[in-house]
Amino acid sequence: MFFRRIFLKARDTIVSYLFILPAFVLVVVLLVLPMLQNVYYSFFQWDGISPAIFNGLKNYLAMFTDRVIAGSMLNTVIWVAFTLVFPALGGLIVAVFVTGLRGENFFKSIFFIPLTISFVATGIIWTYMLGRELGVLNGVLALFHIPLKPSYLTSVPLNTFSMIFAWTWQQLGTNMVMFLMGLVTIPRDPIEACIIDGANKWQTFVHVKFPMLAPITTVVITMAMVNSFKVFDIIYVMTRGGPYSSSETLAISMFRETFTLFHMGYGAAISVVLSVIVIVISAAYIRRMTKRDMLYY
Amino acid sequence: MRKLKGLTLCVLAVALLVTGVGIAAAAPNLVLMHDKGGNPNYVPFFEDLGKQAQAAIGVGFTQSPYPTTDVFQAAVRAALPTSKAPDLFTWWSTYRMKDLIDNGLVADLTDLWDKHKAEYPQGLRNAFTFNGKVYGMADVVEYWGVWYNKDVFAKYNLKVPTTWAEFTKVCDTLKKNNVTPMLESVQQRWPTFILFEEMVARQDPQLYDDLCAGKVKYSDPRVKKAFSVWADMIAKGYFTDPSTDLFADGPRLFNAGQVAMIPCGSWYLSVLTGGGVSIDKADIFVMPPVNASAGKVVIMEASPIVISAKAPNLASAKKVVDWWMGPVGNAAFAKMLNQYPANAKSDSSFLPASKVNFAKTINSGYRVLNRYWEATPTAICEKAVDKFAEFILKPSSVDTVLADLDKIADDYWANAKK
Repeated sequence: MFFRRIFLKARDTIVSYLFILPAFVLVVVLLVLPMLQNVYYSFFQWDGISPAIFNGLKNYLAMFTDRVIAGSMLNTVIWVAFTLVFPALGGLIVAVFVTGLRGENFFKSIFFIPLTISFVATGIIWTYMLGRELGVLNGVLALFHIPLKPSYLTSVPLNTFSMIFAWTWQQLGTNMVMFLMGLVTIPRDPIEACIIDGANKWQTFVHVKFPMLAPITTVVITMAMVNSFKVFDIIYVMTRGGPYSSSETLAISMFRETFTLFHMGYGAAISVVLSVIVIVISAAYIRRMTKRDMLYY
Repeated sequence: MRKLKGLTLCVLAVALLVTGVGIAAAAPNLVLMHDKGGNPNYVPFFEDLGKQAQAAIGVGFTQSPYPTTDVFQAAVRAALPTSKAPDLFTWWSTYRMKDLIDNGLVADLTDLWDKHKAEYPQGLRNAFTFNGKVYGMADVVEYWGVWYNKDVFAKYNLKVPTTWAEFTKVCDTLKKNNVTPMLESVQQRWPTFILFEEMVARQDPQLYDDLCAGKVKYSDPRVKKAFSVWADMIAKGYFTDPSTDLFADGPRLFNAGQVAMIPCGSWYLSVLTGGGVSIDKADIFVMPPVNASAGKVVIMEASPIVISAKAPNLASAKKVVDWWMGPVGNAAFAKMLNQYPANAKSDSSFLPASKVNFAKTINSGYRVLNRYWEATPTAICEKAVDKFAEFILKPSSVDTVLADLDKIADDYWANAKK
């Protein structure tokens, strides 16, 4: 009897491992091994075809003296800061104002539709919208006889902010949905108690609703930060990081060094730095997500 | 009965095996890797050419298309040192293929170039030559000039300029009539070298060659003079805003008569017509020399087909390239693309009148220079295009730009394999 129980337990354990084996193998082969290989090559000077030459920490140290990387880092920080302000805060504002409004579903759909478009398509659409000569935005300015004709994608730093605007247009819907989910799960009791105590709408939002949205806010902010650290496709489509690298972020610099200049080792070092930043933020996010108080506020 | 069945099956199996081996020996499965599987899409053209080669010489090829250049380059570079190297692959000439040659990854085709010596101009051969050996073959070539709107020129009684004074006069007249003379773009990064190479080559073609080869510094006074002419043109308003896109905006502005001239490769005709411009509306001329002593100069762009040094079917691949380099094979592919055959003896009567006339002009004693994109090392070019963009947007930054270009070039040449 005893041995049978041990046998059954062992069998269950083996079966459980067999179930996770395919996913485990995929993650190891397609993610863990390439990541380790990437870290390995970050210590080498390599063009992808010649023998790799070990150069220690030179690739990492070179990043500190590289003006393009300094600019990319600054742009990445700008992206992170402004994607917290616009898509995240904007999502909250839209969610709050749309809730209970007449035609609520219509407005929700309007803000949600851009989310169904890919980043590449978003980039192409906004490249046309922001064209200086034939763009829609400058066309509207001309219609109202406003004597302005900005070059949205080639003036520095306007180009970075123009792309953040396009990104916001696409991302606002995601954050709105997240905050809407948070708002509907807030219990009615504290809100009603607050109203009975004489609080107005603003006070109710600031002192009751917003604090109770904290878990969702954490998720939105963390996701926004992670996404903006690794932003690539929309920039690649709209400016390719140009002109003169002025709108490059770390992800674009990494791509350019690796696949355009074939500085594989240097590109690997940039990607390691970028990955470390994203992993640290993601780890904080996952820890926050797995806390039990998420479920009960 | 059972024995008879077994015997029959054995005989059939052996027959199939023998036939199969026979087929495999007669027609190896040659593979052409290329990056023209997206936009432009050359898949049907390569398929057709593979069949034509099969019919003509008994050896054809299949293809392995990639939709984007970045992924294609990474895939080819990864495959070349291995036994999975493609037999044939598309690439870019001169310095774009140098690191592959330095690493012994590309087959030497000097014998084929010698065989077809009388059919190819020396300038084209030079673009494929390293240390006396010739690598890759040219499938098509294109030349760089200035596309102009014939209707706009007719409206303002303008003639194709042959001197720099005439050229600036054309620009002034257009400007006076609220037509932007030329398109200039920093979008997509690479188009910034178009005006750079025109300005330097039209000051002194030898200076251009020496600059590309690292024999002259970017801060050389003659280069600085070329930049000052360019800056003067920007200041006079000869160009569109640099945010204008060569592909998205160019054809529409050209068609509407808002921009009269677009400096670009002769292949740009298909971009114009694809963007709605009537083929009769566009014609092309070579930009006149800024410095008259520069003489007749035209910039060339050659597209190579390369054989891997480790090609699984090297002999058959060379047989295909031999046919493709010849007048018939070369014309067949060029006709599909509506581009100039690289082989001077190939039929090119299929080309539109503007391109036929342009070729006649070039054949009247023009010195052919290699395009900057290929003529200078990739590591310099990829960074230089950003510096040219900086200059276009801030012409006053010329000294900083030239100093930065010197540093980029010096860093490369200091470590370059000679």
